[in-house]
Amino acid sequence: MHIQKLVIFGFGQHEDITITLKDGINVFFGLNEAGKTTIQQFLLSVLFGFPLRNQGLLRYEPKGGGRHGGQVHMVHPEFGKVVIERVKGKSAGDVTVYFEDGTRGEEDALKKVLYRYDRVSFESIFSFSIHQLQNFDKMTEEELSRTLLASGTTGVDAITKLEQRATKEMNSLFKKSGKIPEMNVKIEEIRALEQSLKEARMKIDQYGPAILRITEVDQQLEILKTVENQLQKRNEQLSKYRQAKPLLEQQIQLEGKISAIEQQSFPAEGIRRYETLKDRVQELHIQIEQLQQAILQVKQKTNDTSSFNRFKEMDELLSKETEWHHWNLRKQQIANELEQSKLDMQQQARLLGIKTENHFKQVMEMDVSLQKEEYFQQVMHRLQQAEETIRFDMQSSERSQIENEEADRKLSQLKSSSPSEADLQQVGKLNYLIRQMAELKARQQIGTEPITKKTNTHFLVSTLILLASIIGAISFSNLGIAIGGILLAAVVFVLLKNMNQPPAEKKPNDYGVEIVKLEQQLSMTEQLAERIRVYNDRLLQLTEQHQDRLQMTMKIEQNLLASNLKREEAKRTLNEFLKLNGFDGLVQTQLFPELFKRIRQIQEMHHLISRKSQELQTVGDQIHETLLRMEDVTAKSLSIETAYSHLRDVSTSHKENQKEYGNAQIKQKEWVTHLTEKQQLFEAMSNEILVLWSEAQVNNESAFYESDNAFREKQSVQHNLLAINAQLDAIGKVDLANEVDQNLLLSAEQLDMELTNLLENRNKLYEEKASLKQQSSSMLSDESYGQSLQQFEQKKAELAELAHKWSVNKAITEAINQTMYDLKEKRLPFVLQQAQQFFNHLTNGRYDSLEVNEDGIFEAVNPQGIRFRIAELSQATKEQAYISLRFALTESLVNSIPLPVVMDDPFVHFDRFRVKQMVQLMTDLEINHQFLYFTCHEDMTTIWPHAHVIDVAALQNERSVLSI
Amino acid sequence: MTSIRFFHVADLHLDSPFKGITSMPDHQLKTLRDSTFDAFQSLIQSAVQMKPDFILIVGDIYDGEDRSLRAQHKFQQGMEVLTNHQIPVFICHGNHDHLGGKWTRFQLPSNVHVFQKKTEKVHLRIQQQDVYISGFSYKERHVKEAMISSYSQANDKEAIHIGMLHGSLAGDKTHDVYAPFTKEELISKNYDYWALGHIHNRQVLHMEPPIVYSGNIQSRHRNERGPKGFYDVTLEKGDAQLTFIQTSAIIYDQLSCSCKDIVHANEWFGTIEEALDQFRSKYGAAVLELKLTEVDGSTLEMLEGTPMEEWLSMVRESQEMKDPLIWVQSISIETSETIDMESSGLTENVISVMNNWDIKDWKEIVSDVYQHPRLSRFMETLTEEDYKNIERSASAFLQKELIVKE
Repeated sequence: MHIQKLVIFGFGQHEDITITLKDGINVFFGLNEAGKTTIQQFLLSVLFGFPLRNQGLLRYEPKGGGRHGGQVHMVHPEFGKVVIERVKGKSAGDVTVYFEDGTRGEEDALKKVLYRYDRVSFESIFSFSIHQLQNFDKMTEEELSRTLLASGTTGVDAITKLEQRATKEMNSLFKKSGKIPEMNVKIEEIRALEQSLKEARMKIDQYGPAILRITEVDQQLEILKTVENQLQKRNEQLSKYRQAKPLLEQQIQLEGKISAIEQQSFPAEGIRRYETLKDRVQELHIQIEQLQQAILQVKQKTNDTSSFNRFKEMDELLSKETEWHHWNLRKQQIANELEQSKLDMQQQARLLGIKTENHFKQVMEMDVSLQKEEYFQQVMHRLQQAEETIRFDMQSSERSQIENEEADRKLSQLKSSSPSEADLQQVGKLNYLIRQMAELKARQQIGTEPITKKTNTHFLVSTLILLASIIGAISFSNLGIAIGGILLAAVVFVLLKNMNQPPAEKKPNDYGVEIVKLEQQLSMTEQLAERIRVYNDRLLQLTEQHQDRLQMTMKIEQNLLASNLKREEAKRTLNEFLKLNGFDGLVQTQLFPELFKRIRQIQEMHHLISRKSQELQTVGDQIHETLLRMEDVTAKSLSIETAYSHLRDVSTSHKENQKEYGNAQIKQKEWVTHLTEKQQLFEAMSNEILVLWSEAQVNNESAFYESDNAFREKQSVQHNLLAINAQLDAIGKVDLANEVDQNLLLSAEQLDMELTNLLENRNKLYEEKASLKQQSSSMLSDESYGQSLQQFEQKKAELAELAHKWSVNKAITEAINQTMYDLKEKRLPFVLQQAQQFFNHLTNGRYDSLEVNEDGIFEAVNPQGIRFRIAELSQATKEQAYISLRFALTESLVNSIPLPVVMDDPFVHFDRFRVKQMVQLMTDLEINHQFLYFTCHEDMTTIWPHAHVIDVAALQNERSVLSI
Repeated sequence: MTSIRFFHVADLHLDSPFKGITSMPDHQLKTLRDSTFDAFQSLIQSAVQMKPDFILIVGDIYDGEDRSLRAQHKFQQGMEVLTNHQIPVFICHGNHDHLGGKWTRFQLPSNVHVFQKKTEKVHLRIQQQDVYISGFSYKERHVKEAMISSYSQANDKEAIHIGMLHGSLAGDKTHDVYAPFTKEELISKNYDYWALGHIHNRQVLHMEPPIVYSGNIQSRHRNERGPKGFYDVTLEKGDAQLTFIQTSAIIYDQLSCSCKDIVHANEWFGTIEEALDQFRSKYGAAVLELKLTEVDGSTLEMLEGTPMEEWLSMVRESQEMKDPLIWVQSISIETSETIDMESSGLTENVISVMNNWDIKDWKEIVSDVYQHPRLSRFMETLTEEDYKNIERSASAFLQKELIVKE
């Protein structure tokens, strides 16, 4: 690539200048201030961009305004003719690349044109100045060889510097055993944090035990509390005991006294009450006695209580005076009436023929009721009928009598063998006896009715039973019955006859003996009758044989018999009735009603009389009774007539007495009530006294007084005791009373000690608990651990960042070193070979070769084989070595990157000979390379025979010429 | 069929520090440090508001030995709150909070069921729906063997089966391998939901049945980008609805910011601030890595006129008083291609040398620091990505340094 023309629009002092260049060597000559460097910078700026404002390089903007920038015209091996124009625009300027074919490009195209070389790379390979050569001298060995290497190979010293910077940075970040580098510091911080974290964790680990310990402490505290309570109680007890001790002793003493006094109780104000009561009782006693005497006197006065009764009776009698007179009159009247009635009755009795008293009595007792009368009339009628029937039957009986006589004959035959007459008689006597007996009995009944009725009846009954048995025995045979019937008729007949005789002639008392006799006979006869019955049985058998024959007769006789019976019965009934009433003889039947009438009259009269006489009797009795009572009342024998006047006298005197007595009575009543009152009071008082005594548990007065004394003493003692008890109560309960004093005193000291110990313990525990609590609760809410953790993480992150930074630097150094190494290994040999040639040529054979030793350090080797380090070389030789390397490098790049070489007066230290060598070398290289050589030494303009010399100072003029 | 609703939560890492943050002032650091608690609180609040049937916490409640008492205390308090609202909690411990540690343990309330080292199946009944939850806790830090075989097969067709598993997919080497499993193994168990923990990146490995990592509730590292939280799961036989609920109090992210046509510093600040405000209004508090894109030469010229640290501190200052906090962790320039290519042959040469290094070479190169006995304890092993980063930085530096050389 060859630059043909530089067109400066405006750059630094240059304005509108066109500099034409040729291939090979172009020398820019100008004195100082002429603008050589400006042109140099113009080229670089157009190719690689205006320096950025922050890069600290001059931008060469024209002072007088105008366009900033310009054009570089070149011939490019690839693109042909190319114009690069850079003018003011963005920071690096606006680039336009004009190609031969008319196309344009910008930065991208420029990069391609410049083989992607940047300014740094360009400067480090294709551009060198006297300063670089001079600095070459000051480089350390390593730097020098590095720079040589770098410049010698790629021309990029910068990369070495970068590597150095990176290494420095790395070292400032971390040193294996350093303390100051950032990472080392960080590590220390992290470790410190880690340590504190560990501690925090340990603290956290204490949480569990702390919690446990808290519960433990709580338990211990609880125990201590109870112990303390016990101790305190005991202490309390002790102090109390100390206080209470004399009191207790006194208490015991007093209690002894109290127990000695037996008196359990004594009524309140017993003595006073007792004496009051006693006074009143005595008073009452006297009063009662007085009263009793008074009452007794009154009682004596009115002793006969009967007088009151008598008086009452007297009053009663006096009230009955009228009645009394009435009674006397009535008595008189009734007596008269009675006399009259008796006369009338006697008249009637005579009319009826009643002579005896007995008869009269019978009449009196007659039943004369209408029914009876009727009944008798019927009987009368039946009697008349029966008499007619009998008359008829008698006729038929006479006819059958004849037939019967026949039969009787036959019977008489049988009768010849009949029982003895005596027996029969005896048997017949039986009936008689019975009858007699009945009679006797009847008589006895009549005669002794009121007296012997009971015994007689008894007897009569037994007889009747006997009779009935006999009749029963007989009734076994019809014949017997027939005979019995006849006998019975006869008996009835006889009996009626007997009854008509007055049976009352004998004294009723004689009948008893006869009855006994009769009874004996009766029993004998009964035996006999038994035998007859046997005979009758045989007779019956015979009779039965003649039954049929007798039937007719029997019938008739039966009829007759029946008729007779009827008649007889009727007659008997009438007669009986009459006889019963003492009327003998059958009265004409027609007179019967009259009889009844009379009898009734008599009976009525009799009743009247008996009533009157009864009334008389009653009245008489009443009078008599009243009289007797009056006598009794008046205590005098009185006549009926004067009775009442006497009675009145007595009564009056009595009444007076009575009044007096009444008064006394009232008084007495009053007294009695008084007395009872007093007595009750007395009783009550006495009871009260007794109560008092019983309360005091005594039974007499002296004991009562004694007990009072005793009780009062007891009370006073008790009072004292109460006071002591109250004091003791105030002190509180003391449980230690039983223990020995000495022990108690000792234990008091011990207790104090124990208590203080305990308190100390407890306080310690409380403190511990409080601190533990505080600790554990602060742990729960403690954020510092989390904070530390976060810090820890942050530090770690920071460390990581630093490490990253370090790693980047490390990577850079490593990469650079490796690149270097690669270069050293691959490109260095070629470059070195070339450089050796140049160096040998420049030094005119003084040194054979440049080599890199094992340590990577350049050495110059002379023909004798002696090795010199760069630093050991002379300044000029060093520069020659440097230039050799640079030229070798450009030479090595001539095909790939054929950029022009820009040199800024590098040969000032060279002597003429060396300059000549240098010029020779450049002339050799001129074919392949375009050189832009800037110098302020005029002789340099002539040193190259074919060099194109540009007088910088003349450029302005040229322009002006051109412009002209 | 009754549906149940539960929270799938994992990797709480309470009170664990936020990693990779530098030079943050203390008052802002506190917000960052409390972020795990804040996230946990917002989880508890969500539970109280939404009243899920239960909550699953699939491991790593604390950060191992680094657990603070405060963390445990706060966790216990949170559990008490859930107890008061009758929300059962099922916990299985993971590699970070394994059962083997000898740290002080807090008594958890009765609503909390903690699985023990032996895999266990717990039955509960929710609205006539039988639910079985299976899980286990790490008995020690390292459980390398596959635990999936200890989970019983789901036989009851009516009941809902849920598996809790703290572990990683077999073959995934990007994280420490714990209790490895394969998707097929999990599916073969016939469970209705697999609640996974351990991987902090939220992801659904499979649907029908869902096999899900809920991710952690708060990012703690610059690599854990974006919003974090838990899944609110409504589950019935054969159907699952997963709703992500954010809990993270601070998110970590990268923010690209175009610098096209920016020449002046105030323009640049304006652009940056606008981008940050946008992000703030969208996501809230954050730690951001700012990435400048479309930077051309003049912008670069402007930016490089001042050291990047200066720019960064100025940006931080501009954000300092704003709430919620956005902390710019770093600003990086994504240099455009044109500038990138502007390097000399030598520079390229150097860069190409770096390019040719493999991991081994890199290790060797940085061994002075990274293998240093004292240092290495506090540093994480570098990954390929890290080496790339170093290379990138080195290249940029080289270019920058060599291009503008005098």
